[in-house]
Amino acid sequence: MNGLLDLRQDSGNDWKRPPAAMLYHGIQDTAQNYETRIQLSALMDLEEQMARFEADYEGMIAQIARYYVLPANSLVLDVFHRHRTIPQLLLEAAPRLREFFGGDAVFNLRVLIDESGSQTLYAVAMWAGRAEDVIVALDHFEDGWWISNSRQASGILTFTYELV
Amino acid sequence: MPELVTIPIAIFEITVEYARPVMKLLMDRKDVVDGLFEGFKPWGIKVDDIEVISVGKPSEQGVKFKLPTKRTSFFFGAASCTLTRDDSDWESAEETTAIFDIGVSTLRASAGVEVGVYKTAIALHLQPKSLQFIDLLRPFAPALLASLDSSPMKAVAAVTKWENRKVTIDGSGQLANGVFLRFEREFGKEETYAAIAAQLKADESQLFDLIGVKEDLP
Repeated sequence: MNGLLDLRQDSGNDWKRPPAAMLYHGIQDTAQNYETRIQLSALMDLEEQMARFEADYEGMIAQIARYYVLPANSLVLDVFHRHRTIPQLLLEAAPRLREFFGGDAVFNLRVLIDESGSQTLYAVAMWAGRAEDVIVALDHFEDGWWISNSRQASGILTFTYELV
Repeated sequence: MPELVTIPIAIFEITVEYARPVMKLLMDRKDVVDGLFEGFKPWGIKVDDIEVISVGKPSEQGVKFKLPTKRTSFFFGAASCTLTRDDSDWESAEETTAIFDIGVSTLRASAGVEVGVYKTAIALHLQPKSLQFIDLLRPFAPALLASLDSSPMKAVAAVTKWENRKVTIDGSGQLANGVFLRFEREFGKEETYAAIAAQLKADESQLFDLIGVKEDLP
C-alpha cells in the first residue's frame, strides 16, 4: 500500500464478479433484483452464490497481497484453500502488526511441511534492525492481539521474525 | 548485481485510436458483435462474457468482450478499441497478438475502422526478494526534494513523459513491499505487431537495468 500517485494500478477488469443475468440488465428499470433473489432462497442460484463466495475469497487474497509478501509457489494458497479462516485472520492481524512492528516492516508468508505432511504457515517479519527490538515487538503483538485470537488459527499460523 | 524480483501482477494494454470516429459503432453494431463473438470462440467465450458499456462519455461507451480463461478483454467503442490482458508475460505475447488481431480485423471488415495510432502500456508490480521497495525507488527522488528533510524517505513516485513515451514509477498499491512500473509508448499505424512487441521488450529491459532489477524466473 505504498502508491503515491493517484493512478489506477490495475487493469480495470473485474474478474471476480459474475456477469449480470442479462446483457441489458443495467438499463432495464424493471429487471429482477439479482441480489434480492439470492437472499430469498438458500438453494436457488447455488452456482451463482458459490461464484460470489469464491469472488469474495479471491478479493480477500488480493487484500492479503497488499500486506504480506506471498511466495511464487502455491503452497500458501493451498493453506488458504484448506483453512478458510486463515486469510481473514491475516487481514485482521495486518493493522496490529503495523502497530507493533512499524509501518515499514515487511512480512513474508511461508509454509513448512513436516514429516507427517501437516502444514504450518509462518508470517515472518523481515527485520533489518536490532534483534532486541523485534523480540519486544513480537511480545507486544502476542500479548496485545495474538493470544486472544490465536484459537481461530487452530495451530496452523505462527508469527515470527528473521533478521536480515 | 541486480536485485531479483518476482512480478506477481503484470498488465498489458493496447489501444487503437481510429483514424476517424465510426459513429455507427454506437448504434448499429450487431454485425460487429456477431463477428467478434465468432472470432473469440476459440478462447471459449460465452454470451455472458459480453458486457455493454452504456455509461460515461460517448467515447467511453461500447461493448466489452471478456475471455476469462485468458484474463483478457477486448473493448470497442466509436473512437477506439482496447485489448487488456491481466497476468501477461512474454510467453503469451503471441496469443495476445492473435486475440488483438482478430478484434482489429473484425472491426476493419465489419465497420470500416481505420487504424490511426497504437497506444501501448505495460504495468508491472515488482516484488524484490531481499531489498525494501524504497531502496529501489530512492534513486528516482529528485535531489532537490530529497534534500528537504534528513529523515528517511517513506515513498517516492516519478513520472516522465516524452512525445511518444511515458514512464511511471511508484510504490505498489496492490502488493506489500512492491514497486509499480508502468511504461507507455505510441506507435504509428504502419508498425507491425512484431515490431511493437520487440520495442516494448527492449523498453522493459532498459527500465529493469535502470531500476537495477532482474526477474527471478522459476
